[in-house]
Amino acid sequence: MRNPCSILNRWLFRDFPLQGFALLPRALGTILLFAFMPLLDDLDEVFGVAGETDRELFRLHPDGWGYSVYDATVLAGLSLKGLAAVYLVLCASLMAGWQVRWMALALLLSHHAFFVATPLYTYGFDHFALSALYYCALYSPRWGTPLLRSVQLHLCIVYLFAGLNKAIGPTWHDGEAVWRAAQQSFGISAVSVAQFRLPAWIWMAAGWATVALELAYPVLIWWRRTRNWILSGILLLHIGIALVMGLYAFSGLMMLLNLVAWFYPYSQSFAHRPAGKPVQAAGQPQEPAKNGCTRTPALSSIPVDVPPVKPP
Amino acid sequence: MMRTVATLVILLVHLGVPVLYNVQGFLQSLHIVKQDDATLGPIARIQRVGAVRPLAAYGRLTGLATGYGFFSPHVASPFTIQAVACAAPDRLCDTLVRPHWAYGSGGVRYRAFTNGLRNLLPPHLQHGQQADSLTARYWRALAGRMAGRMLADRPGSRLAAWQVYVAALPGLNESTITYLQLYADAKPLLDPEPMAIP
Repeated sequence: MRNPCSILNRWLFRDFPLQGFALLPRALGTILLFAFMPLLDDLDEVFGVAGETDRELFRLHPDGWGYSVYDATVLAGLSLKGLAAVYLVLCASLMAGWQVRWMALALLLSHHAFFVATPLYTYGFDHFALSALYYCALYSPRWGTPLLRSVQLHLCIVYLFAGLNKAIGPTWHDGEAVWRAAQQSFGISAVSVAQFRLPAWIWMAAGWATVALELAYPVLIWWRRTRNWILSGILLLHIGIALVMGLYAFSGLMMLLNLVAWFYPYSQSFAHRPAGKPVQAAGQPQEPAKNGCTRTPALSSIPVDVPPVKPP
Repeated sequence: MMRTVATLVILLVHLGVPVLYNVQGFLQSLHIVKQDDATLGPIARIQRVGAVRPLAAYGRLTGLATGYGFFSPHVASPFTIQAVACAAPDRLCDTLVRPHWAYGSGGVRYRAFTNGLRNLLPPHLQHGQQADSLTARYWRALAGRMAGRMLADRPGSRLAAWQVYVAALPGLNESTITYLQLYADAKPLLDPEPMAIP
């Protein structure tokens, strides 16, 4: 029987292909840029800089927390257009992969100041964007796997609670919730399903499928045999949300996080070395530790001719 | 060993933040569905823990301090600010329902804004999250300013009246939208009778 400590050690520090973390800042910068650009023409209107009263009113938001663009423009006298330009430059830097950690941190603060510090226009996308920027800022190859585990567990928490909250809602059982969501225009939806006279059982099936998928995600995504099914299902769900509800930035970001967490690390095409075997490779003696745990040898010491093993 | 334990502790603290906020969110959902006040005590206790400054600061900055129960337990009805803009010389009036920037891609952000108008709902519809008087007044002031902003691209027009209402969208076996007026300045603009959808 294996030592729980070594199992934990292997789980936290196993060698994974981490190409996803190279993609994350570039794709995240692109998503944030395209989500911000439509507001550029009307910045003064959106953020209330056109009228002094509005800026002061916005600053008094009861749920406001932290330094916002309203503080920056009212107290520090900074130009809103200047702040927007900084935001765009930070997005472009992420896209270019330049100084990723610092740019991600700066963009995190900038995004927080624009959209979250005074939560007037805040929706789920903004919170996930901050989390994704935080992960970009934390990433280093040395701590890649613990960070990957963090993203994976974070997504499990997201879908677990999304599923639980839906599971107790009667409107998700009879299809009403999906029908009501499909009727509403959030952004520019590409497909208007509400205009089709679909039978009630389709809405009911869509509701149950959403609940089942979200509740199954935290469990079945860890199992190799079901991972691709769950991942495909969740990607389809987000494509549906984008097309029907017009939440393109939110869906794009969720798809990106899912790919970073579950596609790249387990995809054979991205494996630069066998990923399934523990870092303790065959024939490599384990170094005993004083406390009963075994120490993982340095990655560079692992022989490269280890036979490929399918990831779990 | 130390590295493993330290990493595990950091992971637990980091992920404990969204778990905390989502347990609270789940209890709030339960309260809405079951109409059971027994959940209010645990909610208040979790809120106190979530308000601890370092935890709140970390959660807010990293985007973890939020609930993930999107569109649940029910899908919220849309709130609308309706403004009547009248041009002075010929007294022609237009009814506006959103500022010009909120058409198209800006619609998602504007929708997020109008969700805050839930603070104007009557107490029996707020499900234990009743806004205090100050918050309700704040949102009335915001709604009024937003109604005024709808006239930004209409020079020469003035705001004759505005109101806030919530539209209960028709269910699968219904054909009418019902409106509930939450606040009106000047005169009511809508027919109080339910409007039939086309």
